[in-house]
Amino acid sequence: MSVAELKERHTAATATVNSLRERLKQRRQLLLDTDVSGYARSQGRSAISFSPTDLVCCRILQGHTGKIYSLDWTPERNRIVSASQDGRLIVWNALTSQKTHAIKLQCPWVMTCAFAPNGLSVACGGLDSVCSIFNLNSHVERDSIPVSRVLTGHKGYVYSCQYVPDQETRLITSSGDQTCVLWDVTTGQRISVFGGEFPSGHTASVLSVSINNSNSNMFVSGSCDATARLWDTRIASRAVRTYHGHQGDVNTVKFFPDGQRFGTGSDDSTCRLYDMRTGHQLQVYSQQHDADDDEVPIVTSIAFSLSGRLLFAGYSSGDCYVWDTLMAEVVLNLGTLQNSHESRISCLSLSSDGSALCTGSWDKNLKIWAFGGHRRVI
Amino acid sequence: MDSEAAPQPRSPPRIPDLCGRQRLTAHLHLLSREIAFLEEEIQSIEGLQPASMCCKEVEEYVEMIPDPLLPIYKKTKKRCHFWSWLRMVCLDIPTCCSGGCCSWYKKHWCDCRPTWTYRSTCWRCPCSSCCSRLKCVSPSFSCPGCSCGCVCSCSECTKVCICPRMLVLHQLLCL
Repeated sequence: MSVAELKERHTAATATVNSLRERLKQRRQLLLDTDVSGYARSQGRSAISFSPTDLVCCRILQGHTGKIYSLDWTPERNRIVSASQDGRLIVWNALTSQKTHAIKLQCPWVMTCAFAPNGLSVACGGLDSVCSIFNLNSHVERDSIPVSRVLTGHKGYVYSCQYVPDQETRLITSSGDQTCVLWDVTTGQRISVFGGEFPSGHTASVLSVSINNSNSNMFVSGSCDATARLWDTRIASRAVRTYHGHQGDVNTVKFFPDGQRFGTGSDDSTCRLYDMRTGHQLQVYSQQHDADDDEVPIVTSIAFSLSGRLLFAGYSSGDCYVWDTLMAEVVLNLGTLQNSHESRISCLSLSSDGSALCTGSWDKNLKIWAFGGHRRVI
Repeated sequence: MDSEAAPQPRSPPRIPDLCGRQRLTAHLHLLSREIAFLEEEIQSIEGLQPASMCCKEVEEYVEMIPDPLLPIYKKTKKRCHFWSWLRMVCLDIPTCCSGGCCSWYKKHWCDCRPTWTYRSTCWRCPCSSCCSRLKCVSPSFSCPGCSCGCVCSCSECTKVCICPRMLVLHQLLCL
């Protein structure tokens, strides 16, 4: 076939793709008969009401000397690992605020960290394009823990990493090379690569992953291509589904507690709730901004409360809105409470029992928030 | 001199633009697959449930799961079984009747400890005047419903004495 014929076919195929996408969008629109808040209102629900002292900052973890970029809780024993621009990982006892480990990294430009399910090791990654594993029981050498394994293979920055729940040996990373990778931590080998040269992969850097706790074969990824994609770890050749809607980079994704939905947060300043199975966009969580606002804050991180009734969203402005997920209303702003962060909230995560939220910020601190009020019986 | 024309070098063979052709072919292949995926997805939409069904599922799930960070407890309609209540009083073992809300309660009651914001302040216990045993334990995340961690039992009391906040839970279970 001549180049001219190829070009002609290419143009026709592009037009077909665009037409099919438009048809798909219209078909989906017909099924969006309501959103979560519309449904909840039709059921007579009203928004959660917080008094100003219901959620309080009860711990401030100080010790990093640079912006904090990532944090993760252990599944048990209430420890937190945090990663900072100061080139360190710190492991904290969240109850006592004490540091149990301080790990100096070879590459200070760390973007992500994660605790292994058994709490015995931590992983981190960043602008060195690798994921490093540290065993917390290792013998300390020169005031730091040596790296026990380096996962190499990404051709771009590592933006996010998460261990597969209940599997200390499996970990998923996402990267600026537009792929996600499932690793065997024991051997350091890549088990599967999601995206890349295969179609239906992301077409830009992948910034975030979230693994489904109810079915650890499934995970979602969020990307600078403004989409989130669902993957089955057993089928690396294509994404199960692509979720459109955002108008900017999808910085963060997190599964809803029921494992059937997931939330996203984006540069377009909105959070969204998607149904995993159907692909429906169930809700947009968006605040009105003044027309003359120079900077519309971006959503950097999200977490759901244990029931999913609350969506915590950290913003570049330093705000941390608490959304009532059913009513799509902001019911509290941790950024206006006493002891709130002074700068961008870069990461946040809920403890495994759902009783506390940890936020990390560019102000170099981590803060733990818990319920401190009186409960009403209804 | 021979009048035969000097040999002319042959024109170099026409080398196709391999990079452009290969790139176009690869893109075409990707587009073909994308078309197949889109057609598949359009077909799969036919049988999908509307968004309202998904919203209903979300609402039902949220209402079912107790949440340590919410300022409300939904009163359960289930009554605590008499024997469970009696066991709670006589054996001083915090137990719970069956049920979704109760099993969450049981999980947290057994490790009942102060919330983050309060240290053990046994004087807050409403039964401090009559209860002989007070157990104040170190704080943890795991008991969101307890204000001071005081769990006391009194042989003279007909009910388990608990802190004001836990009293709310007690009422939930044993009314």
